[in-house]
Amino acid sequence: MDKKLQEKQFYLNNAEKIVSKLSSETLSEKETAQLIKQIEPYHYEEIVEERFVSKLCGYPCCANELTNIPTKKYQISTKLNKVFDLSDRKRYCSTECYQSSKYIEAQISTIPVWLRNTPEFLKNEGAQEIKFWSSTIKQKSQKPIQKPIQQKLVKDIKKETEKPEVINNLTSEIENELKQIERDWVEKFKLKQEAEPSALIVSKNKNEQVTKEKFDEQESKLDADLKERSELLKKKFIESMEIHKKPSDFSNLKQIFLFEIKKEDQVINLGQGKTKFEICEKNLSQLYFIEYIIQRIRELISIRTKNYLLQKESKDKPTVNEEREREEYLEACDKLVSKKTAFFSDIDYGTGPSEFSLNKTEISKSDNGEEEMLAKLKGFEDIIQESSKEGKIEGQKESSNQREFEYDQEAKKPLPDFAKLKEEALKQQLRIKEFFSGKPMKKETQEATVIDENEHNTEYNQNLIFKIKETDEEIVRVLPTVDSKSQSEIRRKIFYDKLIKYLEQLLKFSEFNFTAISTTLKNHFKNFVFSLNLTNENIIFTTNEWPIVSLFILKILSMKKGIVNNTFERLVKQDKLIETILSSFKLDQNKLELIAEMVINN
Amino acid sequence: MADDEQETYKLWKIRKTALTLCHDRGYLVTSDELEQTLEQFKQAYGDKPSQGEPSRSRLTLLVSHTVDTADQFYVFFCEEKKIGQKTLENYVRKMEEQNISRAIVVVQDGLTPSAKKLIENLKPNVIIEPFMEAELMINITNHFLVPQHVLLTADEKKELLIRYKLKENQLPRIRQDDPIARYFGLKKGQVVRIIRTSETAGRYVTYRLVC
Repeated sequence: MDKKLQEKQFYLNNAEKIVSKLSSETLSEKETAQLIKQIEPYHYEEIVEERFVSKLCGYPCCANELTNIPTKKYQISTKLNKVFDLSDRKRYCSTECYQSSKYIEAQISTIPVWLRNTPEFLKNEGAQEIKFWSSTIKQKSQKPIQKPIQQKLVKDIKKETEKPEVINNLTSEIENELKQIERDWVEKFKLKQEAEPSALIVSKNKNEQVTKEKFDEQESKLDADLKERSELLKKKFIESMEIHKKPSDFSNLKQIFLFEIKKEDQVINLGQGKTKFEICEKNLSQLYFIEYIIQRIRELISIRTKNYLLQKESKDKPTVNEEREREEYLEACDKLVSKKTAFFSDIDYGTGPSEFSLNKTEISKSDNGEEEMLAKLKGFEDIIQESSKEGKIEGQKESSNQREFEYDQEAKKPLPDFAKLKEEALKQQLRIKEFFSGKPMKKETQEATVIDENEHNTEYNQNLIFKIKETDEEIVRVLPTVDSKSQSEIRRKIFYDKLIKYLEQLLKFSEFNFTAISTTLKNHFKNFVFSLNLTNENIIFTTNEWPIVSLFILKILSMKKGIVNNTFERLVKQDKLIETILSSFKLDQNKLELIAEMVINN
Repeated sequence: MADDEQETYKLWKIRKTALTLCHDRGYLVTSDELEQTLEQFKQAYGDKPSQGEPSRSRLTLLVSHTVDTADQFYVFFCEEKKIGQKTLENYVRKMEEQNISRAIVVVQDGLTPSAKKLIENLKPNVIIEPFMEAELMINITNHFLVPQHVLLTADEKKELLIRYKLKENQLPRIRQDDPIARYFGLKKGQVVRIIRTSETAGRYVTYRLVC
């Protein structure tokens, strides 16, 4: 009995000695592992606490001193919406130490130290080696730096910091590029200064003031150019970051240019006869970027766009304009039906446009595309016919027929009269108005609203504003635009606005004043945008992508036959800013043209 | 700052209690110190505890016994919130150097488990009594419900046992960790006389054996 008590005391004393040793010294992991086998979990807690009191990191193998110990007890992470208890975490210099300490603590046997000398224990638990958290073993050698506790608390953040190597490479690439562009720029500047007098000769008649202004303009142009370029660089950087995410086999560029990648020479040959040019591998990101943009624009372009571009423009009122107007009425029609059959519009009808966008690449490639589309339309028709009731069926039928008409000229059913259709649409709209106002409407007011409607329809992307005159009171009601049709309308609006905005920026310095552009020209853009396949995803470009996108679209539009041709052609070819942008991507006018052709024709 | 003021007040209170404690235990404390006002305390030690004026370690006291001047007594004030083995070992070293066997350690938050163990292990030779700051904010012996405690000397104890024909274990007891016992630093086996006022008897005297 006495012996056993003595033994127990011996073991406990031993454990205490270990506690005091570990709490004052920092030993290597091997030694620690040895000692830790001879203590109990509560001893370990004591070690941690003791170390904390003497301002050492709680992890016995970490010699870091604790600085900036937070006084607060809890850390609230707004990112994860959680509250962390800091009382334990405070005792360690870093999350790694915290983790490894907890890892070790979990391995300490709970069996009392004086009972550990049994063969059973030695066989099972005692035989196990204490393992260490692997990450700390590596890290210990590198860093004695104490990271701020707040950051380290959230593991997610730690994960994010694993990327920097990749980023570093890319940044160095881009730095090089920047230098190169600067060099280019200096040369260009000289050239421009030389070119300046000749430009002035042309404008002989103008005053000296004008020439001064021109100089100023030139200067501001230079600034803008530089800004533009730095923006492009940023863009490239972003792009190059995302290279691995995006399809980038140059399938588009390959179609235009002969295309070789020689990795040994770090030179890529792109070219076809005259348009041969070389690009170093480090400039690949530019190519990726161009490729990406082309792909995106191709996705946007639908059959309607092609039709529109191939159509010959007659005078002020282009044919598509009419079509668009009609389409707007049809949309109004569709809105009515889809409102009343909201269920279907959400599930089947609503997904229609996006399905188009998914399949549109196939459609545009294969000859069967149109048939597929037709089949789909018929499918819609069926669905809607089932769902809609009585009189509404008619309107829907007509509208879907009308849709067929757009794609297939050989529709079997007789085409409804456009005027009739318009009337029908207005009737339906009136019903909605009645529904929302809660009162039946008089015939006279009907007339008034019809006129109102007409006005609104001529506007682009009209909100459905109904003015109802009742007892001399004017109530304006805005119907929520949630259905797929108004969604696509909004998308068009967004896309158009953005396009115009960036074109204005792009053409700021050319003699062609875009802001003062005539409405007819703007209409061309409208029509073009209208013909695009827009989905909620493909209208999103970054601010860096937009200039290039708008440039491409400008070019594409300039290839349309008709009056636009000359204006845009001249515009694109003469603008210096455009040229600089192009050259920064190793492109030139010819290549731009080739790209545009390819985008349209495939 | 309000915090500083509060802290100064706290320190002044604690020190005052500590001083009266020393006085009650029979150590020599001047009446000047015992009756020190807050203003005087501020003048002597400063009024910015947050900037180390006064730092807690500056408040450390060393008093000697009124009768046996060789018997000295330490009151340590700790800078750290929680004191560990290391700080305690430093104190012990200091005491051993000056051949002092008893001390009070005034701690803010408490002791680590190993520090407690160290105190236990030192016990026969060196006695260190930890006190929380909060405990010393007021002097419990001044409370109207706390009767007067008087420690009996060894002779008095012997006389008491003979007078009442008692064995030691037949006396009523008081625990060693009783707040009053801690205040007076009673050791096991000592006896205290407790004198309370009584409505019927005027004064009622009883004895307690520390166990």
